[in-house]
Amino acid sequence: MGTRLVMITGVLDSITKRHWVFLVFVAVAVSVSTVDWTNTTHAGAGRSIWMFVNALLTPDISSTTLNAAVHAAWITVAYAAASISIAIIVGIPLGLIASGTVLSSGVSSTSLTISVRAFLGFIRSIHELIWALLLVASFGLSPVVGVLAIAVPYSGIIGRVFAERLQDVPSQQLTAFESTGASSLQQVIAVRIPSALPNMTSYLFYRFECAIRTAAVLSFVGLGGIGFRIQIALSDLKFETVATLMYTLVILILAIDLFCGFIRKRMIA
Amino acid sequence: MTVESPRYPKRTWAFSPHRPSVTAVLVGTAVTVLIVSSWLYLGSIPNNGRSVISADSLSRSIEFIEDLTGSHSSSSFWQRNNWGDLAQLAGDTLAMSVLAAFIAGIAAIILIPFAASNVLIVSANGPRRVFQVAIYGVIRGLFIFTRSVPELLWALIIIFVFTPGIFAGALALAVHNLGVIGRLGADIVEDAEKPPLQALRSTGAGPLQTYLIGILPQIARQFLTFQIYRWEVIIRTTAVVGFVAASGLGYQLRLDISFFRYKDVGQLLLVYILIVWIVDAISTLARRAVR
Repeated sequence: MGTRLVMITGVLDSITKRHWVFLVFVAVAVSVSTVDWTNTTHAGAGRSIWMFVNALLTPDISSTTLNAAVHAAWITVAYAAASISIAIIVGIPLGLIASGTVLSSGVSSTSLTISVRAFLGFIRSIHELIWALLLVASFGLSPVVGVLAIAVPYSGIIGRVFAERLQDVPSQQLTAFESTGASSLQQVIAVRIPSALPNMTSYLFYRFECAIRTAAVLSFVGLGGIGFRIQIALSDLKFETVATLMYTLVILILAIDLFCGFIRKRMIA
Repeated sequence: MTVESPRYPKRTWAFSPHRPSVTAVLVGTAVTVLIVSSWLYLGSIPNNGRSVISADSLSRSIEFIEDLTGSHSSSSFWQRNNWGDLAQLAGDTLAMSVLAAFIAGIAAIILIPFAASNVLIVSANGPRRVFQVAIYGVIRGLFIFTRSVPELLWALIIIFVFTPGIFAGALALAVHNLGVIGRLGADIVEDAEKPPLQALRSTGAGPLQTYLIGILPQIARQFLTFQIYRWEVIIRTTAVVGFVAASGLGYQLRLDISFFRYKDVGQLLLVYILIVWIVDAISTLARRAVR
């Protein structure tokens, strides 16, 4: 069994860069050939683009639209913040277990680590919106279901990333601490978590940014927010309103970006 | 300057021997207020008098899971001969993700030099510098704009111009991802080692030559690693973009859920998870080869 595994990894490692370039070339060629290139654009495509660009240059800034945009932005932010709070509460402890750094080695703790990793892998392989469709189908439409739809896959992602950060601690620091006779739990608290924290904080802000985008498209299962407004405005062909709502989203993302950059600078300094 | 305590490997808020700074307290308060008020707001939304956890919803979700797995009816997993159709849909989804990653990658490589201050803004003064700074601002702005709008909303807009299909979906995915990798790529370029660039410039190399010879080789690995990783993200989202772009697994999933054909939904989900895992495996191998 062991030798077979070595053989397999040996074969995989012998796939050289030239092979990869070839594989990418083939994959792109095959993908291009699957597209039906005969009618990719609508008849009035040029005019649609023009209308849209025009709308982006002259967004609707009437007070009704702006009020609606601010309200929709708040709904979207509320969904994102609530989901992230659950995802952190669930994901961080699971990540701690999945990192395999806390529990002492043994058959039962190894199997626990592996099963937590598999669980995290499973919940994050399904996209938020598909979780939303599934949860709405089984629990009915409610705000809590919307929050859960984001929180479930995000717990998986945050758990995995936290586990990786805990494992990536420079070994000198650990050895130094180990030589003082610290247990693995003490090492986690005193070395691993502090060194993972700055990176993890900015990663969580990035996740919050992602959550805002996800919350914005949850309108597809019937929850309100920016996506819902954009969908309505598009159906009404009110491109100027669409532009305003898109800019609102840009401002939200930009604000988080700046805030995160500010905190990161403070934490590293 | 504060003297670092030798007991702690790195000074961070949570484990700092010093008192938390004013900013830490302010940020902590702001985050707490945001989360609490979000929950309060969501709790205030009327919910048709139904609670999420009840005997009714529990029995409904058990029924739903039975439908998904096809356990209480004649099992569709063995009966149906549409595994071939599903393979076709999975192929379309894969094609969409590959196209999206490819388009976004090429566009990013072309645009990145215009979003990196160390490549673009080289003139010391005068109108040329103003022009360079303006282009820098426009391209950076473009990246922020395309990144802020999620793939699905791009898809909704793009199908006004392009007929729904693999290409429209790939384009929607590519537009959003261009913003993500463009910004990251430009940041990597701005962090590139300076001496080689100065050496190149002193030989009279122009911006394009500096980029191709001095910078691309430096950033290629990091950029490729990140781009391959983005492909993993893209394949998950491709199924969702299919809702709108009317192709691949996503479209079928949307149809099946709308018609309450939950047995077929179960089958689709299985194929979806399978291709996500296959892509993850390929991506891990490819990233190892790049490294």
